[in-house]
Amino acid sequence: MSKDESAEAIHLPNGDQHIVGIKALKVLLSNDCGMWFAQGLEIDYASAGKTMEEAKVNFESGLKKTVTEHLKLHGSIDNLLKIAPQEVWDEYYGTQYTCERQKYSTIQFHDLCSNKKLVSNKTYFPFKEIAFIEQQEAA
Amino acid sequence: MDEDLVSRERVIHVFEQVSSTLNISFFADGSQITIVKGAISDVFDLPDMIPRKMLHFFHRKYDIRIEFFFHPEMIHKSSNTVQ
Repeated sequence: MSKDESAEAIHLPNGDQHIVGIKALKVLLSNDCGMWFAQGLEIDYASAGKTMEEAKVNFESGLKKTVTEHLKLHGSIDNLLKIAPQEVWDEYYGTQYTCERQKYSTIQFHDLCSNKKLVSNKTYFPFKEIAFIEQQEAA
Repeated sequence: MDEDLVSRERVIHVFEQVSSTLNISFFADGSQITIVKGAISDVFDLPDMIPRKMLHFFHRKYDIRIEFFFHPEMIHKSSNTVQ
């Protein structure tokens, strides 16, 4: 039904319990004055880090917490599923890049009633399916 | 210190100062911040230093010209563009 490269988000609510999955999200990584900046494409979310790896970790952890926040406030992730603006996509298509493609799936169970996670961040395919694209300096 | 990097503490301080005026909710807990504006609600794990691109992201997404607090030359650039 879906291409491997297509980003997908799944939300399965069941009362106060929710299952959320995000797949094949593309993230553009760029070096900005010695720090690393990570910008999501299909989801307009960003992070930063001292190293590329830290930027990725902060992106993933922050996005997970953002999903939780949306579930608490809105009961859905609809408002989270906004793509980045054209300027970001132009940068992605216009830059010379090396592509690091990984597969990431996280299935998060959240019980909003007890404010506890029944299974916290159970990751079946750790750091897989977020396609990190590194932006290189032009020669 | 690189002019294009700003400490996390300074960014948090600015958000705390402007949030009520700009009708946003802002919470900070160590390196984690939460920004709520209308239907937008985001949580970030921030490093010690924040690059300019991250400030630009905050500016674009929340319509908060936070980068102007750290890069005032942007104001002059913006004014020149308008004229």
